[in-house]
Amino acid sequence: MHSRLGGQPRREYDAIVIGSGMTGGWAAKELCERGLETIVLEAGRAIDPRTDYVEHVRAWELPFRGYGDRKALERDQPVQRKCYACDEWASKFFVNDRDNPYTTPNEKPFDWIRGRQVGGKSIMWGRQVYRWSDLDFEANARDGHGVDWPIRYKDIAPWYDYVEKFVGISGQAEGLPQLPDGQFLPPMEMNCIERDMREAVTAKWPGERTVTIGRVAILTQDHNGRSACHYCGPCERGCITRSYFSSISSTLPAAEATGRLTLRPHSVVHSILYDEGRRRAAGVRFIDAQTMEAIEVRARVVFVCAGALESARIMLNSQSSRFPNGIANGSGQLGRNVMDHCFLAGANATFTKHMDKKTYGNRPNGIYVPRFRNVKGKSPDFLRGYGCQGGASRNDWGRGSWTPGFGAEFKAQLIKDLGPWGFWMSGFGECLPNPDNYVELDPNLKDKWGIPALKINVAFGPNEKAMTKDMAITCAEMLEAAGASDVRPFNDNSTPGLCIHEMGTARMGRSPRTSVLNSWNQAHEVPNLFVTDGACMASSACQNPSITYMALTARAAAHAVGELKRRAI
Amino acid sequence: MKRRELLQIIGGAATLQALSGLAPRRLLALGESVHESATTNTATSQHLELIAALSERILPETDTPGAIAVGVPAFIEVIVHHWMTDEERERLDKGLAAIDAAANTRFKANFVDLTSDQQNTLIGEWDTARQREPGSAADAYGRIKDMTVYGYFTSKPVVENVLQLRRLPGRYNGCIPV
Repeated sequence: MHSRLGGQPRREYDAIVIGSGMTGGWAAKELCERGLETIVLEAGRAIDPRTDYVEHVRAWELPFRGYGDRKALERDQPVQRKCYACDEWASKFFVNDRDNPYTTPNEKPFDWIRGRQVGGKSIMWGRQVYRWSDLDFEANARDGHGVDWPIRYKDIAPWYDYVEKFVGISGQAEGLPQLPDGQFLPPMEMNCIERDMREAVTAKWPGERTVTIGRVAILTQDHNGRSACHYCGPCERGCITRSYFSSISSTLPAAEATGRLTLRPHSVVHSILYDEGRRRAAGVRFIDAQTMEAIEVRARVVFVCAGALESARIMLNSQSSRFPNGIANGSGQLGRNVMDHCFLAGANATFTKHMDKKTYGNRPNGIYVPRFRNVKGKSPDFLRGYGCQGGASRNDWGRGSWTPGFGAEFKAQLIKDLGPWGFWMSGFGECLPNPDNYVELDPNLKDKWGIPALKINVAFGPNEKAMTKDMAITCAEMLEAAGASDVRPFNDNSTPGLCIHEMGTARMGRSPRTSVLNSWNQAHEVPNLFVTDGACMASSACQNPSITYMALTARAAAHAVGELKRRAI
Repeated sequence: MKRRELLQIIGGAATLQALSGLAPRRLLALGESVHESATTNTATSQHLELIAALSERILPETDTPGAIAVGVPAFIEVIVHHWMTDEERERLDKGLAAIDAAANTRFKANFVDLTSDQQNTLIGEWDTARQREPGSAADAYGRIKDMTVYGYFTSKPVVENVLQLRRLPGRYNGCIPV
């Protein structure tokens, strides 16, 4: 990613893409490959995998052995550090909270986890990939929460195929209607305990529950010029062999190969410019993060891919006489319907069987239990459902902290015995769309670059709370069925945001009166403006959403180029 | 010898050869003059010897290296002085003082000057303590044990030579014989 970095950009491009992460990378690839001169504006710095990636750095090579520089984290990243991946290795891939402030009401905490760099959060994402089905696309129409999705599974299915073939997804086909199979590379192995659980759960809940290996954007064989995983483990610290999907390992190089990409780091977008005469987005105003200079670029089409809340912030800050409350916000829904998955409710368990077996290598993946609530039967306690994720591993030396003992024998045991198997498992639950969960510009606070900060007003409701209670029960009963010797349910009442699946702030819908985007991720009111990150989501389903964002982005880009060619926008 | 140099010796695997002939107690004795000129003259830095002695009792030298040989005391020192909050450090200091108080009450000497058997007797009680009042001997012991286990098993000599973990395993097997 060294082509045409920095400096004064040309004033005019075919396309502007705001953001270089999961969806920005896809927009760049598709728009460039379809012939458009494209500039990607990235707020953060460029990443050089040779020096920035630290997945093979060992704990003893760090000042705090992995405990993290707590004083620096508490000062600069008090929010970001709540994410498991913001550790002593990878905290540099998360924003500085002092430079990037936001506010919440006291009674509504929200953890906004952000990555500002070329690659965005695709550098340290969780890599779990699950298709949606019509159970999800029809959910709003069925129970009346939110607005009906303007698309169905058949509209997105070919685009799932398209992006999955490029990304490389390992997984096991299961033939489940609620979780369609995809274009899979060979699955990773389940371990001894997980295999037991798969058998036991199938036996106890036949036709209802399935335990399968996680479907992940990690290569189990060489694919599209990228290497198979070498199982070092901590993907969130980077991957020098490009074995997991990130925009800088995959989509941005493809865009660059066309010769039509301009990638500009340190470009903090302030607003989208609106041409009142042509009734089109005219371009983008951004601040050079290093010089603080305000710069404008113009283009025929603008793709907003900054991340759901950031994209809403930019659009709310794009005010004109036509759109005094934010561009394309005639519906008043811009910034509303924020959703994030509720999680951290499930069970821990200990298994004392298979003590003569172990795993080898560090599998960056776990097991998945596809949604089983409100699929066939109907739950009396809540609408929609959740999937479960987790995994088993031998306790290993870590048990030394909480196991009684000391001295020579204690040490020998920690070295030679792997200890019992531990199993952690949590639900990931669908969050209902609710217009009262919203973000707005805070009139009293600006970020380091003078852009108004967000005030985030989001809380989980009774449906999510009822769901997390059920997660703890069902995770515990599945672990028990698998033969656990000790099961400990938990419900941590996770704070919204922490699942980092925030979405919904510029929802798709059939009517300009009740939604921001149409069925092509195109603003109803500004036809050359496309929003393809999580902002577009009309509901949240319970699946990890990135692959759906990617498929929608590729689909929207193809549509946008078609519309440009026939001069419709 | 400056205190920093002592810590480097205790913590540096490269110098293990030179010091491997010294018993832990002798090695720690090197620190006494250093402590007098210590720049960080907090209570815990005066407890460095005690921390080292505790860690070596928890994970002693056998056919594999002990806690001191792989630099556990230096790791704990970093965590205590540059990671813990003031409140956490004070709580640990109080607990370490309680450890020496218990040693004096029972055996009329500071913990580091007790025989291994005497040390083991006291540790055995803290290790199985049901109650761990903040600032108590058992509380400080538990914290030191936690850091000792972590520091030991994340040290270069242990990861590379004892556990023999590879940076790049190259494959994953989910269920193979131990």
